[in-house]
Amino acid sequence: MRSREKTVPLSRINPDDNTFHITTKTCINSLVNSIQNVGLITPPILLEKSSKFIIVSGFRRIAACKQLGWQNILSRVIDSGIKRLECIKLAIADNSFQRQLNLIEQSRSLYMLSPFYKDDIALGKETSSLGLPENPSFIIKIKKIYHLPQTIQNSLLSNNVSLDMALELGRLEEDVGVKFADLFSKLKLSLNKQMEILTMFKEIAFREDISIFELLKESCFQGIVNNDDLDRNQKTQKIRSYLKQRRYPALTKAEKEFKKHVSNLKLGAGAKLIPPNNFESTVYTLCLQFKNLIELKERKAELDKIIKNPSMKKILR
Amino acid sequence: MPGKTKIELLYIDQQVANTPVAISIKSRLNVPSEIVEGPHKVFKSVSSANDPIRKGKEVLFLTRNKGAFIKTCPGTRSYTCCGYKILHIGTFCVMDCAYCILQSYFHPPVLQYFVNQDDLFSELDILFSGKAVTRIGTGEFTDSMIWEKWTDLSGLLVPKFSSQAHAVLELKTKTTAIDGLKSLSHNRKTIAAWSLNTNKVIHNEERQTASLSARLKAAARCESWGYPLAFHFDPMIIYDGCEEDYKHVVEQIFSHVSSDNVVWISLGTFRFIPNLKPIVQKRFPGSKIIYGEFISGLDGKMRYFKPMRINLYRKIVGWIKEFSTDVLIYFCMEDDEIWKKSLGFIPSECGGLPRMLDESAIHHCELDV
Repeated sequence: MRSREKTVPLSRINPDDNTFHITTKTCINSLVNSIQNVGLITPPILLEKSSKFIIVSGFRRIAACKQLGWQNILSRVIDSGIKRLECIKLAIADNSFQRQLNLIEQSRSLYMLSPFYKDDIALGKETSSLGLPENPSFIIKIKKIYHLPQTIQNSLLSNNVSLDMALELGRLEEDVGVKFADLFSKLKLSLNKQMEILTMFKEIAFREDISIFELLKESCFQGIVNNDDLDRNQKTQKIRSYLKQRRYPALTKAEKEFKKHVSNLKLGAGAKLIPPNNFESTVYTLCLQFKNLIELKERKAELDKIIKNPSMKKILR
Repeated sequence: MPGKTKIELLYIDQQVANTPVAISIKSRLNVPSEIVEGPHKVFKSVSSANDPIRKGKEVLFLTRNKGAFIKTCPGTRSYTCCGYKILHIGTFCVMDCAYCILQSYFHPPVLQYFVNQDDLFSELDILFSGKAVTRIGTGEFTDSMIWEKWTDLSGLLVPKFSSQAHAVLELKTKTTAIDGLKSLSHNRKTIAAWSLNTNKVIHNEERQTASLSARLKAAARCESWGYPLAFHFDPMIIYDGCEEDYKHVVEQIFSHVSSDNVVWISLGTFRFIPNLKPIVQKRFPGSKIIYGEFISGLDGKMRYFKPMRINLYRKIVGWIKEFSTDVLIYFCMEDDEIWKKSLGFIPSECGGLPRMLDESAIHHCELDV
């Protein structure tokens, strides 16, 4: 690739042209310190366009030098006749061989490259040499990130949602996907809980012929989310409980009734009554704890009381 | 809603290409055909389609049944099975019901018809020679009557069963393809049976099936030809207003046919293996049937929460009993609690469900014991 080293006035570099922008990093403080102490080790790569220069690689370095008050910067300027694909590869390689690109950066890279290849299989053959994933099915997934709303991308970047969840949110209406990304980021939920909550929302909305957006706006739900007296674990628990009650009203009611009856049994600390899963079987389990014969006799007496208690009859009806 | 499925290509297994049955089906079906060395090409063609389930309904594969023609109903652990036998004539179906388990049961789902009927009849001869009361049906892995257009199967099976006195054949369908039954000698050893549902479920969830009214008119015609009848409310779907709708179905049954001629009525609410859910979501995106209040049952299948099942069963049992206290009602794959709370007894008090059904078959189909 033809290029030459040249000192370029910073005023002639267009920092807003993001044609070749790969990095998601915006903080330049450590870079400013480094340049201040040891100077600019690697010159940025520029492409001359009309009377200006656009950045192929080195966005943060240029921003750091500007912050340091530099007027000029030693750069590597590539020949303007060079093909766009070569510039893209240069921009990607300059980033990916210094550090592991995050998913957003990989997505940007693949999105830039894809118009130049007939399909994702052909693209995959090229990407490994650029430090990018080469599996076509993974490429298909990663490329979709590029089109996700910024909030969802940010949640993915900060590991608040997984790639699969980010794509799932991307399939929802934009407002709805963003609201879930925001919720999941605030509550710091595991993937399983995120999936559970999202599925509940979708199914409740579908069952009740309302939109997910309407469901999200409902006061019951908003009351939990905006309750400042609750920490995030409490909020999560209340949200799950609320959704379960709404999605499975009969089952939830039966569970509440069972709890009420068990409470009437006044079981001591050494006894526990476990209902059949989802009340599907008719087999209940009673656990009794004891350390010695005296305690066992006490349990026996408790057991006799339980058998006579009308609540036990109600449980087993 | 996607267009109607139609068989577009006939694959014929090389091993059966020259059999009279294959030649006859080929000439009656009148679609392009291809002789294949085995199932591999057929399965590959179906599996590679965007919607393999739909594709599986658009090709028919004529082949041999290399296994048994007579199988025992797989049943499921923890729930009461009726002890039914399956006459395995073919697989899959041209109709397209959202809840159909066959969508996830076969891998891949392919419409297959077994042409080695000599083997089938040999197995029936062995079954008949055992002289045990047997209830056997062709409607488990396929619909019994979809094959009428292209095959003479009922014309062979019905007379075959008529010539013995220990087994009954149940032809279970959602079609009205019964014309071929009219002139057959059946000797009441064939039960004409229909899966029934509410008009709403038929309209929304059962693509390409006959309407409720058409099914019941067909049942009435079969009754007029002397056939005993059976009805299956399976799967019953719980939705707002379902109770009134199922009551209407019960009323319709008994306004079309005589309760004395009904051998049995089965009831079963919708249940499904979990991997059917994504299939329904993809193939029937407007369907709400999978969003009911389902719990994981003792056999791993998703079932409506038990009190909801009991509530619906109790009501439908009551409505049926308003028309007839004699007709045998049974539950397909339910436990003793459901039986007791819905019907007031458990099968073991009556000798077990298989025996109850056998006795009804003996009575209605004039079997020798």
